[in-house]
Amino acid sequence: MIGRMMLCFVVALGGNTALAAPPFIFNQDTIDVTTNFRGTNLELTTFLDLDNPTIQMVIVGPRATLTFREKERRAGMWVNASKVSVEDTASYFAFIGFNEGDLEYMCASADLQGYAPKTDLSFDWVCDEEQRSLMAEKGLFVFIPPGGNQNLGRGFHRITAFVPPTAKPGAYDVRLSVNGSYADAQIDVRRAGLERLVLETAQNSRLFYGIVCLVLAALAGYLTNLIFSRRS
Amino acid sequence: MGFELHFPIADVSVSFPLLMFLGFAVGVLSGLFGVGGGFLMTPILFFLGIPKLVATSTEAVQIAGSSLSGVLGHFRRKNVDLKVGSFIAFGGLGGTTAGVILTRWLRSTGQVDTVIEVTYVLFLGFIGSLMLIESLTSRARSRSGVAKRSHAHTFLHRMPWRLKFPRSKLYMSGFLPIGLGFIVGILTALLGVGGGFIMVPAMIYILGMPTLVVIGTSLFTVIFLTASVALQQSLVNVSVDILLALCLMIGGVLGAQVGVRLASRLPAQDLRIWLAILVLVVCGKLAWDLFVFPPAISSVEVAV
Repeated sequence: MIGRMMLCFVVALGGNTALAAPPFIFNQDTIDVTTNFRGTNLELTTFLDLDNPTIQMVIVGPRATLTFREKERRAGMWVNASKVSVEDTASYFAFIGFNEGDLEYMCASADLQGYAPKTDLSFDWVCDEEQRSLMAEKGLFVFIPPGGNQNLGRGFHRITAFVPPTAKPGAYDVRLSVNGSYADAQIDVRRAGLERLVLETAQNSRLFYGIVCLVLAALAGYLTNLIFSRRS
Repeated sequence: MGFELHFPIADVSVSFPLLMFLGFAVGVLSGLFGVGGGFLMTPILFFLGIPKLVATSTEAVQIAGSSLSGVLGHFRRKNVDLKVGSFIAFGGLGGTTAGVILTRWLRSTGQVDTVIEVTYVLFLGFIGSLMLIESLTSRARSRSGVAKRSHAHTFLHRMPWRLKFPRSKLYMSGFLPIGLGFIVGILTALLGVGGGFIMVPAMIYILGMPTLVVIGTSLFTVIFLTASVALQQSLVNVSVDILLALCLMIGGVLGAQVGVRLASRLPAQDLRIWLAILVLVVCGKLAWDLFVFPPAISSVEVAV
């Protein structure tokens, strides 16, 4: 664990540093999504020898296509009527230590990319209040205003962001800014164990997966019959 | 509530004890009343937040397993008409293929959830009302001692390609069981139900099969229909969640055995009325979401 934290520390120091980089460590460099995964807190700890520093963090999830749908009442029924698809966008966006006004300002000046670690993605949905709140409902948009970080004393600060079970696997880029200086790092969210095995088999070997499902069903049916017909 | 499991295909976390309890409860009802239970379990999965297509596809796997468990006993007692069953299964394979293609097209238009909901409302409303009326009239009939009317011959029985079905002592068109299988197959693919509640009355009242072989033959065909749906949905829509299916199978299988044992001790006729009311309540909740106030006006789908 200590070794992994040190590795993270080194990664952070060697990251994309446009200005002097504040050193930081994560509580985990890889998040494993398993069948009993209920989401996790991604904790970043940093040491700052500064009085009242302005600490901000942006986390951007892997590339995705988002499809927003809205229901309308037609012939008395609520049906999906309009659809907006956003391609090449972030599947997760955490915005920590910023004011609501900062977000509005960045969106108005089309400057959001400047604060985010992935510049090749579109963040249009982050600037749309309705789309943003839909993503927040799924835990895929996190907004924590200034003061959300924890001052641990003696110059140590901790920032926490929740990564929900709905988080898509892939590389999550993190940018930590302190008084305008920033450093970048990457966290891996990956499917693991049975979860990974099931998903990969279902997607890559569809026929085999279907047959396995049926064999299991047949086995369950046969065994049930065997056990209960003997007992009765 | 309690220990939650994240289901990889559904991409939803659900409380494991709650899922087992619901599977068990529906299993008890299915054992008690001799119904598959898919028409209750699938809407319950909707209410738990499982995507509708995943719920219907996965439920097909569970029904295949429980139908196999049931049909083995009927085979031992020779209560299965393999010839009629094969004709229905043949039609059913066509129906399930059409149903899976239909769900794929509906998914691309974003209307799959609405169509499944509308079909469920119509279907549960019809089945629930029919069960309620049938239960009330059969209770009245058993009190008055009036005999039940047997099936009547209609134009359907004069259709071409007439064949002999010795086990059921029938001489009818081969198109009849194939057509029945086709219709039930579409419903199986769309709703994730075995279709026994349509098949059994249709076998008795339309085909005119003897009651003795009806349940076994229905279970025999349901295995083919649900297996076909599970396999095709895995291939086409990747919508079968094996972990969810396992949870449902464990809960459902245990519950069904408890239900079978309870059946001989409880007043089945009165309980059937309560089952009909339960079906109508589930139908009412789906209708409320569809016509009055949906759980969410807007939604987002994330695809990596």
